[in-house]
Amino acid sequence: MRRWHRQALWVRWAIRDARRHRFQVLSIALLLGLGVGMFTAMSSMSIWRVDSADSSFAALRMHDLRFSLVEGGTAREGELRTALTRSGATADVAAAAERLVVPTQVDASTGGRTIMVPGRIVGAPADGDVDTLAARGGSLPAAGTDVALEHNFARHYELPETGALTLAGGQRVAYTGQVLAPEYFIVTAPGAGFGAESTFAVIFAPLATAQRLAGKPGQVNDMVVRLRPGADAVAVQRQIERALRVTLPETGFTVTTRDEEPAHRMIYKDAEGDQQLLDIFAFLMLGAATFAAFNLISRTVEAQRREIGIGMALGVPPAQLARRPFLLSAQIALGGLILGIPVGLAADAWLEGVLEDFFPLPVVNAAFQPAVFLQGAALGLVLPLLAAAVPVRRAVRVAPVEAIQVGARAARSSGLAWMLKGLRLPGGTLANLPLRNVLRTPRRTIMTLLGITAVVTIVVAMAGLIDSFDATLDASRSEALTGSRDRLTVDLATATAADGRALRAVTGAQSVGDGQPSLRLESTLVAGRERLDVALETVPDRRPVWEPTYERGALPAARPGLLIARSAADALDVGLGDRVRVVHPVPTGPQTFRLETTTLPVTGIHPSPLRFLAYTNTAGAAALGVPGLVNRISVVPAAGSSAEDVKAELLPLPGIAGVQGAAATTDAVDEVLKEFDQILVVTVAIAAAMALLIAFNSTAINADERTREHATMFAHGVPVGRVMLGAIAEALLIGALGTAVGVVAGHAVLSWVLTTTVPETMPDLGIVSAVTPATYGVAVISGIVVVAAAPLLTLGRLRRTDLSGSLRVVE
Amino acid sequence: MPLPDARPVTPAPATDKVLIRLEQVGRRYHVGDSEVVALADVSLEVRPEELVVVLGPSGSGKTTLLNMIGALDSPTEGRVVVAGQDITHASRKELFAFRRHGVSFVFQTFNLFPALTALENAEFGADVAERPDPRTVAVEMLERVGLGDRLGHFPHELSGGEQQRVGIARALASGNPILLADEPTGELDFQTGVQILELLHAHAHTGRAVVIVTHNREIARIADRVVEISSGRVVRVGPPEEGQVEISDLRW
Ligand SMILES: Nc1ncnc2c1ncn2[C@@H]1O[C@H](COP(=O)(O)OP(=O)(O)OP(=O)(O)O)[C@@H](O)[C@H]1O
Ligand SMILES: [Mg+2]
Repeated sequence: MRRWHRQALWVRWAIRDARRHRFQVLSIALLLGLGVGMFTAMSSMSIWRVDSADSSFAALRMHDLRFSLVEGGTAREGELRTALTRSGATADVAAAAERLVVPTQVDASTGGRTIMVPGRIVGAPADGDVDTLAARGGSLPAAGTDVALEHNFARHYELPETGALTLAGGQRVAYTGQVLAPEYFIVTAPGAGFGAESTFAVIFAPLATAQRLAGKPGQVNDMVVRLRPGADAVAVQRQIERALRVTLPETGFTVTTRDEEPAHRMIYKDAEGDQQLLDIFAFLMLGAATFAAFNLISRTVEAQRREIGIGMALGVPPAQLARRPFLLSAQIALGGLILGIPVGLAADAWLEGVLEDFFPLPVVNAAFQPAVFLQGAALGLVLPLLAAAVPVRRAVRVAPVEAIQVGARAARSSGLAWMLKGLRLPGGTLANLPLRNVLRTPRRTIMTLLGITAVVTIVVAMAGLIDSFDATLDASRSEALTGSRDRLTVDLATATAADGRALRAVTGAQSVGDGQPSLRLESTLVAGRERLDVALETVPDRRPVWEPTYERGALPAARPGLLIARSAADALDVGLGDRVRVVHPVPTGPQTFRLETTTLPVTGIHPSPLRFLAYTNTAGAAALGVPGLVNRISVVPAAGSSAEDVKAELLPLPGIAGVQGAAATTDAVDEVLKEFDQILVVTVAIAAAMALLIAFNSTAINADERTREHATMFAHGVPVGRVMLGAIAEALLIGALGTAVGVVAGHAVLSWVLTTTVPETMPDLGIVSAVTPATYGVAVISGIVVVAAAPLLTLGRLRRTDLSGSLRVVE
Repeated sequence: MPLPDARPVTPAPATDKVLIRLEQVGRRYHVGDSEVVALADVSLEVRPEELVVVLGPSGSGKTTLLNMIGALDSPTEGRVVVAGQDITHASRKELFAFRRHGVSFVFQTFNLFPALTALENAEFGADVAERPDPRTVAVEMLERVGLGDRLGHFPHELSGGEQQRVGIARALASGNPILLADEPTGELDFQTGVQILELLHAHAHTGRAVVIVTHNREIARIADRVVEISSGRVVRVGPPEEGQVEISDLRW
C-alpha cells in the first residue's frame, strides 16, 4: 500500500508537469500524431498499390505475351492462331486471343464541349479468357456496332456512363459502358510513357465490330497469350516467334511481355518510385515531430535538474528520479499515438481517394496497415523516451551540490554565450539578449533548428519538385510551339507519298494555313548496349510551320543527320558525331512493314525535355529507305480560323487518324502531374502547420523558462513590447538559420530525387531542376515568418505575468 | 506630477518632501478557500535622504511591502503614492515608466540574467534607466561592491554572496531616486555585509530614499527609522530601539 502511494505521487507529479505544460504537451502530441499518421499513410501507399495492382491484373486475366504486327501490317483472322498452334507451345498456353488494334480519332464531344483526341480501337473476341474487361458503369457491348469506352478517359472528361462517339472517317458508334482493361490501367499514348487519359481514348469492341469500324474485315494484327502457371515464358515466346516468322514471312512483329507492358511496368515502377519519394517525406515529417518532442522533453528535464539535484541530495536513487521525466514523455508519446490514429486514418482515407483518382483499378486493397502504423508508432513512442534519457543522464551525473546551488537557473552553464563576451554589439544589453539566448542553450537551439530545417526541407523539396515539373513542361511546350502557338499535328492513317490524296486534302482545307509534311516512325535507337524507344520524325527541307531548336549541332542540309534530346544523348551515352543504329519500320506493301536497321550520325541536340522526340532530315529519310513518305502534317490555322476549326474540318476527312495540338503530349503529362501535385501541396501545407507547432512549442518553452527573467525585466520597467521584440528576434534568428539550412537540404533532396527517382519513374522526361521564387517564398513564410510570429501567441501570458510571484520563487 | 528624474538627484532637505507614502495599505491572497493577509492597514512615509529598515520575522510581509512600493504588486486595500503619483491607480504604461525611472530593486532571490556576465547584468540596470554611459557606471558599481575583478563572470560562476552583490550593483547602477533592497546582506559575511550597508547608506545621502528589508535586528540599528512589522501589521515605527549606531559598530 505504501509502495503504491509512492508510485501514485510520481504519477501525480508527472501529470502536474504535463498540465503545467499542457499546450506544449498537446502540440507535441499533435506533432507526433501528424508525424506518425502521415508516416503510416504515406508508407502504406505502395503496399496498397502493389496489392491492388496484383489483384487487378489477376482478376482481369492480364496476358503474359503480346505479339503485335508492325504498324500498318495485318494478317487474316486465324493466321496468328494457326502460328500459335504450330508453335508447339499450346500445352503451356491457358488462353489466347486474336485482336485487331487500330489507330483512330475519337470525337466524344458532349453539349458545348469539344473533345477530340487520337485513340485506338481494340477489337477482341467477346468471350476471350485473356485481358477481360471490367465494367465501370454501363455494360459490355454485346454485338452489332456497339463499343465500350475506356474508363480513365471517360472519367477525365466526366462523360456519361453511356453515350455516342464519332470515330475517324465520321462513323457514329454508341458506347454501352465504361470499362477498365489491364493494358490501360494507366493510359499510355504511343511514343510517350505517360498516363495520357486526357489525350488518348481507347474503344473496345467485339472483334467483328472493330473490323467493320476499321474497314478491315476478317483481319487481325495482334495476339495476346496467357500462360499456364509454371510455364517458361521465354521458351514459349521463342516458339511462337519462330512460328510467326514462318507463317508471316513478309510482316514484322514485336513481342511484348507482361512486364514490359507500359501500364504494368508503370504501375509497379511508379509505386516503387513514388514510394521512395513518399518515404523521404514521411521520414522528414516523423523527424520534424521527433525533434520537436525531443526539444520539449529535454528542456523540461533540464528545468527539473535542480529538483533532481535536491532529490539526489536527499538520497533518492537516480532511477527513481528519472521516473518523473519519463512519465512526462510517456504521456506525450501516448498522446501522440492516440492522435496519430485519427490523423493516420484521415490521411489514409485521403490518400486512398488520391489513389482511386490516380489509378482506378477494378480491385482496390487499401486497408489500414497496422504493421506500418506500429512501425511509426514505435518510433513515435521510443523517440520521446529517448529524448528524456539524454538530459536525465546529464542531470543525474551532476554532483548534487552543483544542482542545488542558489539561483538554480543560473547554476546551469551559459552555453556558448562566452563567444560574445568580448564582443560589443550595438544597442545595449537588451538588444543583445536574443543572440545571447540563442547561444546560451546551443543544444536546444539546435533541436528547434533541426525541426525547422526538416520542415523547410520538405517545403523546398516538395514545392521544388512541382516547380521542376512545371519548368520541364514549359520548356517542352515552348519547344513544341516555336513558330506558332496554334500549331497542330495531323496524323494520317497510313503513310502516303508526298503528293497523296489525304495530304492534299489537308493542305487544301479551308481552315488550314501553311502545312509541313513529315514522316513519324516508332523506332529504337541503339548505341552499344543502350536502347531507347523514340518517335523519329523527318523534318523536310522547307519548314514553313515548325523547325526544331538546336541546343548543339544541327540537321545538316545535304548529309543524313540525327537530332536527339539531351537526355536521350545521355541515356545512350553518345555525343555529336557518334553513330547510332536506328531500328525502324520500312513499308513492304500497302499494309505491311518490315523492321530494318540503319546507322545515322548524331548531328544535333535539341532542348526538348521529351526524350523520345528524335528528328532526321530528308537525306536521313533517304538513308532509312523511306524517302518522300508522309504520315503526319504540321499545320497552322489559316488567318481567321482557330485550332478547333481545323480539327472540325479535318477529322471527318478519310485517311486522317488524328488531329491534335502540337503540345498535346506535354499537356497530357501536365494533366497527370497535376494529380500528383495534390499530394505535394497537402504535404507542404502540413509541413507549414508543423513549423508553426514547432515554433509555438519553442516559444512556449522559452516563455516558461524565462518567466523569472521576464519578470525581472518588467520589474526594471522594460515594456512588454520590448520583451516580445526580443523573443521575436530570437525566433527570427533560429528561423532564419533553420530556413537557410533547410533550403540547402531541400535542394539536396530535390536534386537527389530528380537524379534518381524521377528518371526511373519517368524515363521519358529529361527533367529540368528549378526552384521558383514562390517556393522560396513559402519556405521563408513557413520557416521564418511563421516562426518569428509564434512568440506573439504568448503575448497574453507575458502580459499576465505575476511579478511578485515569479520574482519570489527560488526554484 | 512627473516622476522625479534620477539624474542628478538634487539633495533636498530631509523633511520637506515625502517621496513614498503608503495609506492604509492591505494585501490579501486567496488560496483556495482560505485567505492570507500578507499586509494589513500599513501606513508609512519615507523622505529623500532617509534610510528606512523594515524589520520583521519570516513571513511577516516584508517582501510584500517592498513589492507594493516598487509597483510589482498592487494593494487590495489603501493606496500607494510615490513622488506624488498614485501608483495604485496608474496605467500600465505609467507603471512601467515608474519602474524604469522611479525605483531600483535588489531582490531577495537575486534574479540575475544567466546569459549576461556580472558586468552586463549591472550594465542592464543602467541601460534600462537610460543613464548615459551605462558601461562605465556598471564597472564603477561593481568595483564598489568589491567585484571589480569578476566583471566577465557569468552568474553560475559566482558564489551566492557574489551574485547578491551583482544584484546590488545592478540596482545602484540604475541610480533611481528610490532603492528597495530585500535582505541585501542575507548571503553575506559580516565584513562584506558592512561594506554593502555603507554603500546603501551613502546612496541614501545622495538625495535618495533607501528601504532595506531584513529580519536582522542588528542591521536595523543603522537606520534613520525602523518599521517593525509582524503578521502584516506595523507594530512599531521609530528610530532604532537601542539608538542609531555607526555601521562600523555593528556586530552580527
Ligand atoms: N502569492 C501568494 N499567495 C499566497 N500567499 C502569499 C503569496 N505571496 C506571499 N504570500 C504570503 O504572504 C505572507 C508574507 O509574505 P512575504 O514574502 O512578504 O514575507 P517576508 O516577510 O518577505 O518573509 P521572508 O523573510 O521569509 O522573506 C506570507 O505568509 C506568505 O505566505
Ligand atoms: Mg521576503
